Formats: sequence, structure tokens, C-alpha cells
Amino acid sequence: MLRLNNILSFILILITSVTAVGQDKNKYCIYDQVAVEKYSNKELDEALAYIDTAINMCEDLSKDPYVYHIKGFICYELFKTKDQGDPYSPMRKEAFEAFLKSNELDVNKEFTDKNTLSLKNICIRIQKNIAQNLDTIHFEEAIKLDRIYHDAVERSGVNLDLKEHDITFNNMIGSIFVELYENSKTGRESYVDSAVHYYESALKIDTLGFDANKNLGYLYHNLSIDIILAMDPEDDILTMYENQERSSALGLKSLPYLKRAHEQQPKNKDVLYGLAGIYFMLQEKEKSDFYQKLYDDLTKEQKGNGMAPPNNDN
Amino acid sequence: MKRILQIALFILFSSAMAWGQGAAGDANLKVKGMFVYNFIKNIEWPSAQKTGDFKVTVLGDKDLYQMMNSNYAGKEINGQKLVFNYTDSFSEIGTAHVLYVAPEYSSDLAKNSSKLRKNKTLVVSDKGGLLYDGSVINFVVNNNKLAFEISKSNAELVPLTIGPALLKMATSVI
Repeated sequence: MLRLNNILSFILILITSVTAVGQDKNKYCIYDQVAVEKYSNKELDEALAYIDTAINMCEDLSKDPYVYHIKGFICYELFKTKDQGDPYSPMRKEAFEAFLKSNELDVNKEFTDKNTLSLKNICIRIQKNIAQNLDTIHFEEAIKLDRIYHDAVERSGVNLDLKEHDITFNNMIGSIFVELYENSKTGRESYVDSAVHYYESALKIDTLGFDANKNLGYLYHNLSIDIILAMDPEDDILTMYENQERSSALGLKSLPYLKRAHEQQPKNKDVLYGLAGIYFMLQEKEKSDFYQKLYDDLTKEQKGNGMAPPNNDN
Repeated sequence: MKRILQIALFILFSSAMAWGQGAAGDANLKVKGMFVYNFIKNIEWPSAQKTGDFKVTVLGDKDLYQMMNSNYAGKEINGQKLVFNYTDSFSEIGTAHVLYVAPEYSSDLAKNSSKLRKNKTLVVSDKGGLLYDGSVINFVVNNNKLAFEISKSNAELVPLTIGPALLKMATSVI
């Protein structure tokens, strides 16, 4: 009899324990609602703790796109407020992963639009961080962030034109290297190589791109002239010849780029000025005068017409 | 967002300018001046011309004169101090070791060449065909580079001895 009592007691304890565990699990399964409440009250750290616990402890919620959708917003707010938009904030990464996960689970497409818009906003913020670092001091940071941007756009599949971004970015980094070259006394060749690399990268995407053609044309043009202007006036005739040879080779290199830029924008005064200069440098006076005349005529025309009225594009 | 990049792009590119015809002109002048300086260093004048200042006159090209005057005036070559003059008339040349004749002023070269020869002047011209008008060295364009041709026979009439380096580098020697 005692034995039977013991067995019954054991079964009772077991049932009680199992029920308690079940109740605990149910408790976690409402943590998403607590998280939303905390989020509304701007208690973001608390909100994150609740939503993470909900995902980890409640099996049903761990497969719910809504929970990840909420987590994305909590993390994004933490990124903006607590981390003050730090481009390397782990919260940005977490927000990104949460929105992505939500989209992955969202078979009924209930949250996909909002998630995708949020992912796009995250990408745009990275792009903004890139733009903030586009100068001769922080450009390496911009290059690093550009890789993060690429990864984010590719993984999220948001509607952002990577090609257009790459063209602009490569042109800008190329011009930063040109500025570094112009401002430095040492290591100048490597800056030129880097500038050429970035401009050519832009041209690989769009061969007829005006900016890259103009920039690369300018670069070779200016290098051609720099060689001569840097010569020692007392150089012997052989050294002079060698320098002239190098200068003229660079001048010839600049021509196809400037011509292509001119084809794209025949009334661009900078390009006309560059063409007049490089033909002059290459001893082709007639061609130089031709472009100089176009430049002068355009200058007169613009002066005659006064300033262009503002447009309403913006 | 595109606007942010465009603004940054504008600021960045507005500083990136080509040198244009002005700087190319400066570079070409420098090359021309360096050539003339090298002619002086590589040519021997008769002994009577080896004393006093070494006079270089530029006819008709003020920019070249200014460039040469600022780079070389006062320098000594074989003990002679370089002195530069500018004129825009053949009649004002006087005696000079070297006369550079700008293209627009070369039409009167032929009729002045015997006088220049008498004054032991090395005539450097800058227009096609002028070796036949009494010039000793004439600037030409060769493969997009400034080069020069030499009239050895005109040099011998002065008489001037042209060094081997110049003869080697000349595009043609007649």
C-alpha cells in the first residue's frame, strides 16, 4: 500500500512539474507583447531583452516573422539613439539581420513591404556614412563602408542601383587620390596608380561615362604638363628629350578620354579647355585653337545670355 | 540620398581642373627655352665672341623672353654671363650671340641673314623652311614633340661649331 502511495506521489509530482514548465513556456510566448510595450515607452534595452528571450524561449515565436519585424525596429532605434548612428554599431547589423529574417519567414507577405523599406533605409544610412567619409583623410573608411554597403544591398535585394553608386563612388575616390597626389611630395606615383584604378573601374561599368572620361583625361593631361613644369631648366638635352617623350605619351593617353567626354557633353567648357590645352601641349596648334575657339565662343554666349534661371528639379 | 553624393561630387570635382592652354603654353615655353639654353651650351663661337657678356635676343616672343630671362639671366657659360634682350624689330637687334626669331617675324629673316652672319649670330627660327633663309637651327614638331633641325652649312658660314650631342638629337641636318 505504501509502495502504491509512493508511486502515486511520484506521478503527481511529475504532472505538477510538467505543467509548471508548460506555464513557463507560455510566459515567454507573450514576451513579444511586453517588448512592443517597452518599445512604445522608449525602453529600448528592455524591449530588446524581452524580444530576444521570446525568440529563444518560445518555439512558436522563433518562427514568427512578426517577432523579427519588431526586433528589427527595436535594434534600429537603438542604433539611431544609443549608438548615434555609428556605422559599425552592432545594433545596425542586428536590425538588418532581423528584418531579413522576418522577410524570410513572412510567407504571407504581411511585413515584407515594411521590412524591405527598413532594409533600404539601413542601406541608405550606410551610403550616407560613405559620403561623410569622402575626403583625403577618411577615404579609407569610405572604402571599407562601401564594401559593407555592397554586401547590404546585395543580401537585402532592395531597390538601390549599385551600378550607379559604383560609378559615382569610383569617380569620387579617384578624385581623392588625385587630390592626394597634388598635395603630397612623396609616394605620389602610388596615388596616381590608385586614381587611375578607380576611374577605370567607373569606366568598366559605363565606358561612355562623362565624369570618369573627363577625370581620367584631366589626370593624364595634368601629369603630362607636370613632367615639363617639374624639369630642371638646366637639364641636358638628352634628359629633356626623355621627359618630353614621357610627357607626350601621357598627353596622347589623355586624348581619347577627353574626346569621349566631349562627345557626351559638347558644351562642357572644362572639357573644351582641357582639349585646347592638351593639343597645345602636343604641338597641334590648329586643333588646340579649334577647341579654344569653341571654349571662347561658349564663354561669350553664356555671358550674353546672363545666368541660367533656377530649375524646379530639386 | 543620391543628392548627398551629388553634392559631395560637385564639391570634389569643382576643384579638379585641367591645366588648359595657359599651363600647356608655359610648359611649351619652358621646353623651348631649355632647348635654346642647350644650344648655347653645345655650340662653339669664334674666339672673338668668347669675351664679355653672352647676349641672347628674342625677336617677337615676349613670353619666351620673360621665361628665359627669369630662368637663365646671370648664369655663366664658359665664363660669359648670359644677358637677355627683347625686341620686336630686326633693326634693333644689334650684336647678339643668339637670335631667336618668332614665327610671325620670320618673313624678314632672309634679307637680314648676311648681316646676322657677319655679327656671328646663331639664328634660331621657329617655322618650316627657314633653314633656307639663313637660320642655323629651326624648331620643328616631330611626333607631337618639339624638336629641331640644323643647317650645318649655315653654321659653317658664321662660323659656328655645333656639338655632337645637338647633331645627334636633330631631326635632320642639312
